[in-house]
Amino acid sequence: MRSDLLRGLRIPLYWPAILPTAGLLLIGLGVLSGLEVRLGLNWVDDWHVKQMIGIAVGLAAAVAFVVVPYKTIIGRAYLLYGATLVLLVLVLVLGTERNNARRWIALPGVEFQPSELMKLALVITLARYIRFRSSYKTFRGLFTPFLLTLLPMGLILIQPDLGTALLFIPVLFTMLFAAGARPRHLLLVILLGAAGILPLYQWGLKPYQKERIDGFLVQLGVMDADRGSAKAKGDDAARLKAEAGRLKAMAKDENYQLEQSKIAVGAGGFLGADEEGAGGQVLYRVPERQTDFVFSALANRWGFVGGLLVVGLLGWLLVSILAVAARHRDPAGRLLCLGVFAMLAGQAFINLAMTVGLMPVTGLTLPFLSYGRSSLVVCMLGVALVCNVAARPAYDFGRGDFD
Amino acid sequence: MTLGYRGRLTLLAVLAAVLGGAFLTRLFAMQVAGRAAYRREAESQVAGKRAVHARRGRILDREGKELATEEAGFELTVRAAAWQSVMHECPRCGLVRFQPEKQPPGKCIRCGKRLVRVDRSDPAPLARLLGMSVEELRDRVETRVKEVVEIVEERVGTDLPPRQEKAERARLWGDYGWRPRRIARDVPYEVAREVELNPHQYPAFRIVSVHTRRASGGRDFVHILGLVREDSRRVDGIDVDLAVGVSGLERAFDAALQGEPGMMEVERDPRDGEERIVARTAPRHGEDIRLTIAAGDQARAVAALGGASGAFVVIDANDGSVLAAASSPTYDPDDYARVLAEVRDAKERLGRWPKHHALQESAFSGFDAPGSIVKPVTAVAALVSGVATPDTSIECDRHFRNRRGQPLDTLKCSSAHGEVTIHEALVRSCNVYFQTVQKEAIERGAFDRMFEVARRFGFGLPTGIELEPAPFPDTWDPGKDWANNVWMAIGQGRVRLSPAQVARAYAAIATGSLPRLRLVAEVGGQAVPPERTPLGIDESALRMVREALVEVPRRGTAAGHGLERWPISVKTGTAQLGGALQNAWLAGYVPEHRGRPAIAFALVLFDTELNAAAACAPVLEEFLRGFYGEDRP
Repeated sequence: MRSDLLRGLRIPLYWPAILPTAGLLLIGLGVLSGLEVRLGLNWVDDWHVKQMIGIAVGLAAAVAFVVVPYKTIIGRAYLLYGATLVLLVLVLVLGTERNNARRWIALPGVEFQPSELMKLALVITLARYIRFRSSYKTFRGLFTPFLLTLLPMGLILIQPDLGTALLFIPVLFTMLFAAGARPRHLLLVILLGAAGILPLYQWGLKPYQKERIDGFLVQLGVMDADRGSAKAKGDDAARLKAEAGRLKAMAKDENYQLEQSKIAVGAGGFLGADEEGAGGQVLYRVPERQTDFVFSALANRWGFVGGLLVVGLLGWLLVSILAVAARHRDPAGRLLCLGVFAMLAGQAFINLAMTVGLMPVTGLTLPFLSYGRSSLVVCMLGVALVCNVAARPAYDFGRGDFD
Repeated sequence: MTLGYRGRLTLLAVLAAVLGGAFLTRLFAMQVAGRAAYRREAESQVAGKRAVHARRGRILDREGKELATEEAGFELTVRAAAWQSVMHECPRCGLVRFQPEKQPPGKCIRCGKRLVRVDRSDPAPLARLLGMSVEELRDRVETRVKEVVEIVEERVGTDLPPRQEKAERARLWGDYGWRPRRIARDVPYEVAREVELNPHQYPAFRIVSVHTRRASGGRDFVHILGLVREDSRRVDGIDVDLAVGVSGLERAFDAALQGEPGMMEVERDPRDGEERIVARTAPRHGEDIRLTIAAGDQARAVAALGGASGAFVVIDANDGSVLAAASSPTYDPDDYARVLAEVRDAKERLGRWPKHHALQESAFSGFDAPGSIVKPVTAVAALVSGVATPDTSIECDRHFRNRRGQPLDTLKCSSAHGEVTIHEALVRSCNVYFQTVQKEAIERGAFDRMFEVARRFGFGLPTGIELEPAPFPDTWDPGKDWANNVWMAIGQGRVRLSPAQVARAYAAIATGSLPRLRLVAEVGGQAVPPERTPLGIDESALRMVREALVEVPRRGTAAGHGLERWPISVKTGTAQLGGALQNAWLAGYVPEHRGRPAIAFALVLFDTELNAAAACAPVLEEFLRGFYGEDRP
């Protein structure tokens, strides 16, 4: 699991995590370059060239993140958390506005999203907070971890960036659950959260965010109406069919992105669609096909086989992370791995489910594949953190840690 | 039971596996099981059909001169839905999207950039281009938009429940609202180019190229060629605009002239809006039609009529080709709307359609009492059926005597002809002779035979010209009435003939064969062969009639009107209409002369106070001078 790559500098490499990551990065570059060839942009503006720059930056940062022992990183957790919180406040004031959202901080030659950095900062901070405590096993003891999570979530929601904010919840719940928080307490929190969904929808969301959720719900309504009309007879069938048609039209209007994505994915078939044919051309109607909907592009060009490959590589990566978490003895190392696991798994599932209509459109990137350097670097840092933990097995704790 | 750390990790792994499995199941359902449906959806988004215009065939005269052609032009149209929408534009790539006022701007489907609203609703620049006031342009647009709204509301109806009504209205508006509606015709090329090259500057407007039927044959040919109107037909699932013939040859040969539009299957590239043709079926252009008429001869016939109400048909006596077919009064096809309004006004005043008017075609479909024009046929019938011989003579004291021997005052001769043979009766057009012969035929049971001989000359039968009414009216049918049967011999009573029928009968007298008339010599390069049917009548009877007709312009009823200088045989006819007005007929034939083929002709002037020769001879004389080239230096 450990290799010496450079003389005098010991870089621990955990191949079971690195190999699938490398595979996903290469697939991402392949998909992006395929999209650009048809667009005929100047090569320096090409997405895959910029993405390669992001990979290079990510590799450099990952090396730094691997070389420094994870305990040292955890020791600076609150500093990292505080600094990122400041950046989240700053982005609301000084951030670059794009697509009606203020998510980017522009520095000379580079732009980055503090919310992406906060994903990792939160994992490290929660690991730091939870590792030697047992207070989270009481309901009251959940307050601090939730506060640590909800504070950046609130700031990110103001930007607004619903997708990234929502990702913090599985990270928090996974880390607490794995650390031994009482399931009934977590369930109670979920119920309380569910009660708050309606007010959040009513007053907390921007119109376009509501539009996406409406479109998703309408899409579910279509499925119901179709099923009903298939079974019904006579006037009922006609009524239900008309209703299904109306709902489909509404879904198309209100959820254009999702509809186009589904068509692009579906038209990909088993081995992918012909780029020149109607099935391949439809991809160019998918908005954000290089970022949030990159899986639609992949599924369209490479078909079900391509989708299976990506899911397989993601599964390999996640299992390898869980394997480190399972055999590592240090609570902080375990929590770091589980946090990264939840971050990547949650982000991947939400993104993939969104592209095929299983979840509403939330604006999350697909780890390692989507164009977007902040997200890419943070995901690579996550894998680096796992390598860091895997390379530094802790001394044995007695049975009962987290048990 | 509480789970240990490993158990919780296992649970997390299972949860991840379940979610991954659910996703893969969904992916499989979409990409493998449901692939065809999504592929169809993709095709419906990017593919469309466009009709490829099929040029309507030309109509040419005998010498190849264009009489009806198609010309391309431009029309300015407005799309009601675009006019009533707010335009949004992508600040990065310039893509345009129209949305209702209330709908928030979405993202660019090409590059994902959020669209921004732009206001290009000011019609002033376009009004300046068109040289009209802003108010006039706005009025025209609003009128069209209102029409679309009315169409949509009419189709929505009032039977649907409110929710469905709203959805149906939106659906119809999405269809009809985007169809271009014409607001200006004959748009100059420069204006069309400006609007077409700058669609974002004039978002609600589109230039549509149109093909207009130009009838260069003008008023001389309007009754023959007929008119076309714009129509829309469903071809291969899409509406295609076509010019459809509604009268004349344009209607009779519509299928050949129209051709078959081609079809293009196009894909719209969503990145730049460019259309790519993926399949193309070439149009089958309409076939050209070449007439048997030379434009010059037709113009002479129309000019000879001089605007008088009447008709004039000239045919090739041997092969039945129509050489001229004039109906008068005539009109300029560009003035159709005005002429139609005048005719309708006349109808309002009279309480019935006027008897003869400019929109009426009389050469082939005008059936009138023929008068003495039919006497040569009666003579042949009498000779063939044995009712009369060349030597049979009858005493004419002006009055025909009925079955009881009483002299009748109606349809008498203009003067007492004395003792006349059949030859003299033809030359002097003796009513008494032919009525007496007919009475004799009825009494001897030879009427049916005489009737059958008249049929051989085409009386009551279609001539072969496509402009004749369908179903064809049999107007050579006297009925059971004795008087009408007698009057039939002199073309009076209930019988009616068209000038084309008369001309054909005279061609038969001249040649011994009844030709099938033809107005079209070629369709799409394929010749329409002439047809003729031998009369099957004793040549001596025909010769006897010919000998009489040749004397008519020399010492008979047409003498003294200058026709005797032509190698011509004619017969006059006057159909009494009651009062001072009558229809004046002149029919006959001329053998080959000055390089021209043998011709037969029939000329009728309606509602004239003059006798046949006085009314018709100058018209015929003027035509013959031109026809045989005597009016040229």
